Amino acid sequence: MTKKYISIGLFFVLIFAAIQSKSDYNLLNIFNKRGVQVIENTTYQEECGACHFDYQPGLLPERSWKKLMTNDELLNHFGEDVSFDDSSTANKIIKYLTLNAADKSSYNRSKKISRSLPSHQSPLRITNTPYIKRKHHGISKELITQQSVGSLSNCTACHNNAHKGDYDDDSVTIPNIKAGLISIELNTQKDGYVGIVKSTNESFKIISTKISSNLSVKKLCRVVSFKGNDEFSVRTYCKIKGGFWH
Amino acid sequence: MNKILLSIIIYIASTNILAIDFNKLYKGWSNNQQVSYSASMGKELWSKEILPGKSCKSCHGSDLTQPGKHIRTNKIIKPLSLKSNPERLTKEKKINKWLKRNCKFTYKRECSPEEKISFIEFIRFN
Repeated sequence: MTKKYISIGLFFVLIFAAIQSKSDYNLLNIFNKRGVQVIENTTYQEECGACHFDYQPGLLPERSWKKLMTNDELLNHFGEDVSFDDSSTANKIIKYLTLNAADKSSYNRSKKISRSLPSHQSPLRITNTPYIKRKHHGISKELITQQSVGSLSNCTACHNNAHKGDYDDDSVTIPNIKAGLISIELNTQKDGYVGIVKSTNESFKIISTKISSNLSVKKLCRVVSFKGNDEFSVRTYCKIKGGFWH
Repeated sequence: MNKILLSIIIYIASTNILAIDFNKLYKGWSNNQQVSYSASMGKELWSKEILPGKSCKSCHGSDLTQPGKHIRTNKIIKPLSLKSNPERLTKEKKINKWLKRNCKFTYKRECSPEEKISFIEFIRFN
């Protein structure tokens, strides 16, 4: 009799789990939170977020934040003196950062960052953690150094939902990604060249080349046509000498 | 009725106490010494690059009613002008903090009383 009840109970538990795992907001997410925890600390946002993107504490382990917030480091914070006048503000921030650090977090992405890092390492840059490095490995240098991005530390340039702690691939738009994908061909191939855009599988053709000079700035321009499944488009990419295609 | 009047008076008085007394602030900076300053001096200094590539203008722009952009981090900075951002210059602590930090960022040193007062005058009236 008890066996029967147990099996009926188990059956319902399994059904419940199966349904829950299909929905976006499910109970099991308590143990499996996506992204990193959003920021809920106005002192941190006002003090640190005034000059740069307020990186979530869950992007670095506690030992990194502790090191970053020492007086010596704050006097030379990536080249700038950002030392605090009153230690109470600094202490508030240290407390917030360390309590919510990646190695203290139950959020998935924080856990991944923390796990990727050998315990003897405490990098000061999020971009120096193995997980973040690996995740950005395939992106060409030109796309990262282009003006609207600058460097990998500018999360919001591509991660549209970074402020929500969401760094999912689905919410990424890299500016000029198409130009980046065909930049080698734009640099080296002659008019008439036909190729395939990596990753989107569109075919493209370099139609013509011209020099456009505007005031004293000379630009090399190339007209390219793209043919996708049921889309056809033409775009002109230009660049200054040594620059990047836009 | 009297109670309402009294509370209005207290309210007005308290908001006035909170407003910044700039003359007092300037005297504090200059240690009661006579210094020469003006909004137009502030305007001139605004775009002056004491260190190459860095001036107030490089992050805050020259039109203070418009937002600026941090040259190192690309972070958007809210406008400085009171016309488009009335929260500016309302807290003494913040004024002191940012003058110190930004002078160090831009000039690698703290600013002189003349510079500080001229900047604030320029911001107040632009």
